[in-house]
Amino acid sequence: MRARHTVLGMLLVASAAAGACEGLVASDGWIRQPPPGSPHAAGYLVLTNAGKRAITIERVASPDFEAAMLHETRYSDGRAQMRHVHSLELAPGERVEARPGGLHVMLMRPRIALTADALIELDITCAAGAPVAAWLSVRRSPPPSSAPDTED
Amino acid sequence: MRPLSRSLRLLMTTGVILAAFAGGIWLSARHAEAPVASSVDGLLWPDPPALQAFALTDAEGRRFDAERLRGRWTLLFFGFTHCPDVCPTTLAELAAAQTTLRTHPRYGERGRIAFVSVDPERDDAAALRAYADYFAPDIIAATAPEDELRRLTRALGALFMKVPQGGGEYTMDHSAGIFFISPDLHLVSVLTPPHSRDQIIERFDAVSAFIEEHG
Ligand SMILES: [Cu+2]
Repeated sequence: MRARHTVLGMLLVASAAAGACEGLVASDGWIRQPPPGSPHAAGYLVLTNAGKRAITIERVASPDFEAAMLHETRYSDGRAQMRHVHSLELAPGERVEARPGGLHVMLMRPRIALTADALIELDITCAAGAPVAAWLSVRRSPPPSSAPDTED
Repeated sequence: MRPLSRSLRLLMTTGVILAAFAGGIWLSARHAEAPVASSVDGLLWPDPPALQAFALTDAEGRRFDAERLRGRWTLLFFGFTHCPDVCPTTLAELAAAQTTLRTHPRYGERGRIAFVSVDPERDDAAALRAYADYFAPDIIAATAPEDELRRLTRALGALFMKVPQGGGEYTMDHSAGIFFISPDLHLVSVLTPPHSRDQIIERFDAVSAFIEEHG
């Protein structure tokens, strides 16, 4: 368990795998530790299409949660609305950042204790391909690179 | 009457009415006390809405009403515990801002963060307390049945709505601004999301300085 933590903690990158997810690189993955009383968590990561063809992410899942899906928080008139993102397309070279207050992985009903530094597996499925795994580390506060986006 | 002169007459009549209206505004402005102009960003001025009567129940089972907020600055945020993205992000930033604001002469020890759940169906007292404690133990966490919640949200110009998500799940759309309530119970500013601790501190400092001097 400890080895898994350290080694993967340094990597946190999905293997660029074969199939329709070919070229997909997931990095800087983390999950905001949900406060006690909250059965849902939000995961964040950077998705890059390092390949030469467009990638369409169609599904996410995690063995550590009963359900997972891509969500987006949008603002309309100061109102936050959280909506399911049914698919996410990445053009070759495109980089999409899931970060607090925007795109996120909605993780529902954990099967394990979400202690700080625990690593969570996220399986990303693209159109007609085998899933690729990304790793998200549980954190109490965002890594410096993923502070809430207040620019827009 | 030819169409041209008719529209000309209409135009003139409109002009007279507008002039009278503008004159009326000018007169009433002269009669009123000259309002202090505000250059403070985001300040609701010169007519900050007064907080109307409301009565929620806090996580300790006590009544949470406007009187609890009198004589202190309150930073109020609507949310719900099943909200994993915006709510914990904002509450974490609010709690961090409050740590700094405790040494601010106008916020001090009396200032409070209030977390109001718009999801009374799932957020009972125990869930609210556990949730708020994670960020700061002195956060007031409260909720109420929908009708009572609406009295508070209406007074603040806030909105919330239940949105089904399939499979029996639902989420809540909700106003995600931070509502700055002055010690004399007026809504004096709303900071729109996304939030950062620095923005919260900056807004508090500017708004509270103006209200203390002119409010
Ligand atoms: Cu979500």
